Amino acid sequence: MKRFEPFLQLIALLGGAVTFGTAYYLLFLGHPAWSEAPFEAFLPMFQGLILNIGMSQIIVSNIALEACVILFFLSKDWFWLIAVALLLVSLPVTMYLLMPINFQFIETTDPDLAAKAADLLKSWGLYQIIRTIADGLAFAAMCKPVIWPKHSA
Amino acid sequence: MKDAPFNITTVLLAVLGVGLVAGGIWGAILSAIGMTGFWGIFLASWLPVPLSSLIRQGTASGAASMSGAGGSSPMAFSLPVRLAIAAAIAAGIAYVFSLSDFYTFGFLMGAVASLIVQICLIVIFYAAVASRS
Repeated sequence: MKRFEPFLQLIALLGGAVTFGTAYYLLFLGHPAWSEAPFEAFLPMFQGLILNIGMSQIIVSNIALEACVILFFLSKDWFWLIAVALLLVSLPVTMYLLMPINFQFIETTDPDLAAKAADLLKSWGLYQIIRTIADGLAFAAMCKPVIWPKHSA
Repeated sequence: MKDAPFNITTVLLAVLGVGLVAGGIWGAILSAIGMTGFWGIFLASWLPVPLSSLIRQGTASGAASMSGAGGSSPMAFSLPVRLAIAAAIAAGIAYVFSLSDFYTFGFLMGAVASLIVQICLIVIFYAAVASRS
């Protein structure tokens, strides 16, 4: 099993990099564009992007998560577990903070949605900052045991 | 085009995946010709940058046009500036990696160094594109 460790490291790092890159893209390019656009233009942009990204993002981050768990058991390096914890921060932030807002914009059942849109987007941006920082730190935590493994220190 | 509703996860998987494999291949080649240490890691992480840039433009434009958005993919900087920034980051990464004595230079170290350089470039380039909107 130990000989698969480098392969698992590449999978974890690639998954971590894509997860962080997506969160960073949404924060730096998606969110500002949505905030500046009028409601009628913003809504299809938001729905298209979120519906496109959703499932692939879940798959990629879960693959990274599972690779990190296996790597922790193989190497006993705590940085893999720190990476897991940081990746897991995204879970409650996404499920309990971001997804309710996403569903409001996707289902558009609220008649006052246009009036609330600016405030909802502001909250969405704040929650996305938490997610982006957590994903970035998770990637950094994955890099540590790859560049400086525990037993070479 | 930059706010087109395309699947950025797929684009990043393509760009970072290509960067990873290309870095690994360069790592294996440079290791085989005896170029290990700082210069080997530097070249393995820097040489895939133009290819990744090309892949990014291609996949982002393709994905955006499939989503119904026109125009070309926005560039943070011109190619020489992008390569110069990449060289500076690759030098830093190569220095950090050369302090570690765990791995012998080869496919794995080339792949990991290239991936880290790519993610550093994404952080800089997205912020640059966003600041110019």
